[in-house]
Amino acid sequence: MLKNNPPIKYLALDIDELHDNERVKQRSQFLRGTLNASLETVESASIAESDTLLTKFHGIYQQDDRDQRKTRRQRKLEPDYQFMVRIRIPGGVVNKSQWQKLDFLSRRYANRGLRITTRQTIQLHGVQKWHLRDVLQGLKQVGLDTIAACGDDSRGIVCGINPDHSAIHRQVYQIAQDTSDRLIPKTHAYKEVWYQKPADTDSTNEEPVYGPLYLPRKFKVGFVIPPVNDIDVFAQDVGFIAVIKNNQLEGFNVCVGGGMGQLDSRDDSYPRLASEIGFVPTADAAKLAEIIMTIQRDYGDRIDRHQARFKYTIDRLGINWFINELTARYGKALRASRKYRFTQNHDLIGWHKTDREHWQVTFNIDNGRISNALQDQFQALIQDLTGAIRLTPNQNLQLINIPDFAKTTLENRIEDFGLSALINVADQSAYSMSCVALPTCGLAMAEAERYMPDFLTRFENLKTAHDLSATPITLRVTGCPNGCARPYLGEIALTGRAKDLYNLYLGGSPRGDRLAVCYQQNVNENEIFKTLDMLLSLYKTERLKNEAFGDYLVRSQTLKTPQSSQQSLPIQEM
Amino acid sequence: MQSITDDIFSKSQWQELNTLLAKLSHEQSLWLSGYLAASIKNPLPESTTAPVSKLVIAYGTETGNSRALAEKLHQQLPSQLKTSVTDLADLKVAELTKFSHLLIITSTHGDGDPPETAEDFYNALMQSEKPLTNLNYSVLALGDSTYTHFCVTGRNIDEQFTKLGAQQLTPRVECDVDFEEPAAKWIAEVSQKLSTQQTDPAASAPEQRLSTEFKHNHEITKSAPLTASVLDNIILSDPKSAMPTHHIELDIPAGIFDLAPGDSVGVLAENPPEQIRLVLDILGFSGDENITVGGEAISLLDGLKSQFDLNHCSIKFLERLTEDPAANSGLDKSAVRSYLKQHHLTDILRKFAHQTALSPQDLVNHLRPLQPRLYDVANVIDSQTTALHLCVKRYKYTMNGQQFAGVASTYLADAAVGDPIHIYPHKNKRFHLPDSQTAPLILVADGTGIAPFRAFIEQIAAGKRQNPCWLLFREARYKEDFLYQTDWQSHLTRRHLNKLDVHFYKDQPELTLFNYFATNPDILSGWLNAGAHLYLSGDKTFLTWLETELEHYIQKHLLMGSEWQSLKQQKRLHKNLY
Ligand code: SRM
Ligand SMILES: Cc1cc2nc3c(=O)[nH]c(=O)nc-3n(C[C@H](O)[C@H](O)[C@H](O)COP(=O)(O)OP(=O)(O)OC[C@H]3O[C@@H](n4cnc5c(N)ncnc54)[C@H](O)[C@@H]3O)c2cc1C
Ligand SMILES: Cc1cc2nc3c(=O)[nH]c(=O)nc-3n(C[C@H](O)[C@H](O)[C@H](O)COP(=O)(O)O)c2cc1C
Ligand code: SF4
Repeated sequence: MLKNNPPIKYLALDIDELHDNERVKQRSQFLRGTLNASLETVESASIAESDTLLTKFHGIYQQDDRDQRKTRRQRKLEPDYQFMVRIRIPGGVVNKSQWQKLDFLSRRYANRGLRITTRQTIQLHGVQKWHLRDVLQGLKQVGLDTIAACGDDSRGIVCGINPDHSAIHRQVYQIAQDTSDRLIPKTHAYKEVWYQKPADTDSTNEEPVYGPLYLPRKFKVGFVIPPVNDIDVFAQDVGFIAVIKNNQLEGFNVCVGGGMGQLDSRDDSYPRLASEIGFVPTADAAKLAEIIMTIQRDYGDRIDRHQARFKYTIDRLGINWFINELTARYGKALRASRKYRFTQNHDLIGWHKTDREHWQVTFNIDNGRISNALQDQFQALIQDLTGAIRLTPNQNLQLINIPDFAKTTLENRIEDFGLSALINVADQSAYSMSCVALPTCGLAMAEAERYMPDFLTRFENLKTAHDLSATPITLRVTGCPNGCARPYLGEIALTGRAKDLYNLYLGGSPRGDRLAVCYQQNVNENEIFKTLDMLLSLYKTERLKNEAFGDYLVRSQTLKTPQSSQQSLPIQEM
Repeated sequence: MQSITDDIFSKSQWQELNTLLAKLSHEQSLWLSGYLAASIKNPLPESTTAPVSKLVIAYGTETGNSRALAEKLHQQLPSQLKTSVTDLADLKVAELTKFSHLLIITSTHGDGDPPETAEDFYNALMQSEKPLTNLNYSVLALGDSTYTHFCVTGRNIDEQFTKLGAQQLTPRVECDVDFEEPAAKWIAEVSQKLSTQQTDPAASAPEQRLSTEFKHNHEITKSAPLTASVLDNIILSDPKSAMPTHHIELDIPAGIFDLAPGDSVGVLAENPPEQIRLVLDILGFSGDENITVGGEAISLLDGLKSQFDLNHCSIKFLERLTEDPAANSGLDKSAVRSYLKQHHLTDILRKFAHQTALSPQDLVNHLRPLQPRLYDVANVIDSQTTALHLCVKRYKYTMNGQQFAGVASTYLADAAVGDPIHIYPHKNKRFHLPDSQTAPLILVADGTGIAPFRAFIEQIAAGKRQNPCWLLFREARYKEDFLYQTDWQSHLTRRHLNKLDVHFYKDQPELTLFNYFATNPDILSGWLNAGAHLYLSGDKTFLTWLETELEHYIQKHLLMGSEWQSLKQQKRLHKNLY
């Protein structure tokens, strides 16, 4: 890795040398911009271009229906501008009335139901500019907001496994909440623009931690409790791996610099597994997250936005430099990492009893989309729910905190509403994820969510043909190399390159601790299946007992040895 | 031939030359032609191709690279060349014959596809068989060599141009993702080549050249209409809607029409085939029968197609059918008119035609002539305009439970590219722009009523007037029916349109367009006191209602109350209602 000496402190550079977006942030007066005016303009259903950057910090993306682009241009109409609203739900748990509100708002103002994301929150698609305030004010009524769900800031914090699982889980979940509260922007602009509250005049620096330029890029924090790595902790900018000893939460192993995003057109662009740097006691976790964020705030690249992610900052300056800087800011060194073991990165589908004598049931939701009939079924089911709802980082839906006495009734209702098929553990779709992609994602180059059902059918047939239908294989499909469904951790992954063409990645692990490698570029479905057919037949004959497909590909040296996390241990019995 | 050689050779020289040439073998002639060409001492300037009279740079882009390069090229071309830069999205293949030079910069996307916005142009070009022998062109192709179909869009365009006989100015250059260097080379090559070309003196003063043509304004009338072919027919509304609005462009010769913004054209339509069939079937005619109309023998079918009204029954016809309408139809004589209003010609034919012997000639003698329909011109027609725009709503109505299609609007809406349409100019003097070049304009449009305002604002945008404009527009839904939305957006950014209010009655049924005046009383009175002209265009019922509301409101709520009075007295109220 090239090391600059001394490291460039981008935040200290002259603003005119920095990327255009930095000036937009600076001029925005802590994210106000010209949003109020933009919301009023009648000639367009869009907002001013500079404001589209700012709404992201408020959890709102301007998009357009790409299916309609061409015909609308011919019709002398602007693109079908609409907004995606991403809710901030750190840890992914909502109560019944919050769910019902989300359900209501999505029916009234959005057009594709509710979408559970890979960072365990909800997105609404297709909201019109004229309705944004209605939506955000509606959310406020149930204590939800969209602050920092997107933007150059600390994104929605993810937290593994059901907090109801044990007292320790509850504790980790609470630390995740505290960290979120600590890391989110504090500007009053959100209330002024969306709730139309009067301007707050007395605060001079509304962002004591961020400052007026916020971060160079998005910044993602996650908490995970082994042995389940459902959040894919090595894909986080900062990951906290809970260390439990004698039924006590001792603290966390900290890992830094994970990320998926990549551009196929740049050589200096790559996915990266987070590096473990040591152990932090429970009480210091939130504080440490903030310190790490401020290092990225100061040193992250603010000229080249692609290089601005924290993973590149670390590689540019070196992990040792980073640890020294962290030690200096934290005031002491981190202790040595503890041992832990991950066994899976998928959810516990179906019914499970928690340590607290409660039940949880996880529904496998295809690509996280709850719309049409499925939305009605869940609306009916949740009407009489005793418990809460948790969204998982695998885009699934979990009902949690279900007391013993309510279980049978719930089981019957699940049956009655035709939802029992979604709690089937063996289903390959429970190990499959795809990002949103077309028609709303402006960056998509190929289909993902809309393609997954067809791909999956063919894939399941192939597995059956090789007598592997009971063997789960992590499958991830994204519409572009940005990697929103964390494809570079999949055992099999497709990343979109152009309509009907994908790069085929292979060799991730079912524990989310090893990077997949690009096996073929620009291949279509038939070519992909030709490859998979060949490899599955080898796997079927040569695999060790319980050896996962990705692990087999690596052991058999079908793939060049990919990057793994320090403690990666395939599960296999000889 | 003779006349040109006369200037160059003496008669005897020419004769000698011809005798000699006649004796040469094919090979000898070929050699001689090369020899002569090479031995000329004073060669012509390098380009024997056409001088640069119209140079266009067109780009096809998805992520902006090609656009940026097009702008760079534009800046680097010699400034005496009048150059325009356009998105391929806005370029029509039919226009290409008008260009002398075309420089195309385009990327390839998808799996070897053209950029989405360039798709229409690309497909039309690939299907075109129209020769482009006067066109000089060059192509810069952007791509990414990791894709199978590297730069194919640029390549295919290049090859198609050659196929259509266009001249390659400089060879095509294909660029990979690191396109800066090869692109700069291509730009330099093209600019170098163009700077050695002559410019066409006429091109720098086009206005003058054409204005002389404009004086020979042809007399085009209802009886001697112009046949204009359809260049484009676009459904502006949701294509699923029952009565969608179409944008229709007609090909007209430049300088032929004398039409000001606010004027219309009359359209001589044809009856829908089903309607003709219905009448023929009721009467048991085949359509092949001969009839004479205006002294000319034609078939009944042809007559019914374009000359006669097949919807409205005349009193004369009803009398002929029933002998005594009052007695036979069981109607009071005074009610005949209203009876005719409520009954379609086909109803009446069904009811009475069997009672009397009706020959094909009898039929046409009693039918009303088919009337032309008026449509407002939706663009500025100046001496150089070669396309006339109309904004037409496909009309449907029901009568006695049966659905009928409006004759002319259906005819226009169904017209395919290339179909001939007969039109003539229709002046609408009371709906012209005011004499004052600065008086403010309040333009109120319902639906297709927007058409003349598109021409108004285009005229202002042409830089000849400074009238501030406030446009108020009413339609059904924002998302689907915002007619010409992108035009208004660009006029707003360039300040040719100063204020826009829209009301979409299906989105906001609780409001009407009137609310936009009532919530802005200061603005309204300000504009009126500054001498604003108020224009109402479109649906008669709605706008008549709005006019009354406005009148009451102004009298009651505005400071002076007399604004309405002066508006009318000073002829500042203009109406185009239908
Ligand atoms: C909804 C979601 C995918 C899903 O199917 O669930 C998603 C959807 C989008 N992501 Fe993502 N990302 C989502 C998780 C991720 C993840 C996974 C994760 O964080 O665990 C990644 C990889 C991890 C990482 O950050 O490296 C991810 C990496 C990106 C990137 C690449 C960033 C980079 O480093 O280059 C972009 C593009 C960008 O930021 O420029 C992006 C951008 C986008 C945008 C907003 C497109 C845009 O910028 O215009 C997508 C909106 C699509 C739509 O129509 O809804 N998204 N995105 C996920 C929302 C998570 C959330 O609730 O916050
Ligand atoms: C100055 C002017 C400008 C105009 N500009 C435009 C424009 O820019 N765009 C545009 O779309 N339109 C415009 N119009 C309207 C246009 O001229 C036509 O009237 C309209 O398109 C309908 O014509 P049609 O031939 O399709 O329908 P028609 O066949 O003429 O039917 C239209 C009407 O006639 C009635 N009708 C038809 N048959 C009968 C019958 N047998 N008995 C009783 N009633 C009957 C129907 O109820 C219906 O209301 C303009 C009109 C005027 C006067
Ligand atoms: C989704 C996608 C598909 C592409 N497909 C091709 C292709 O098939 N062939 C090719 O030569 N280049 C392809 N490219 C590369 C582009 O042509 C190249 O990036 C070019 O510089 C873009 O120029 P533009 O910004 O003017 O659109 C593709 C790019 C994208 C993003
Ligand atoms: S991976 Fe690409 S296509 Fe899919 S949602 Fe993310 S940015 Fe869009």
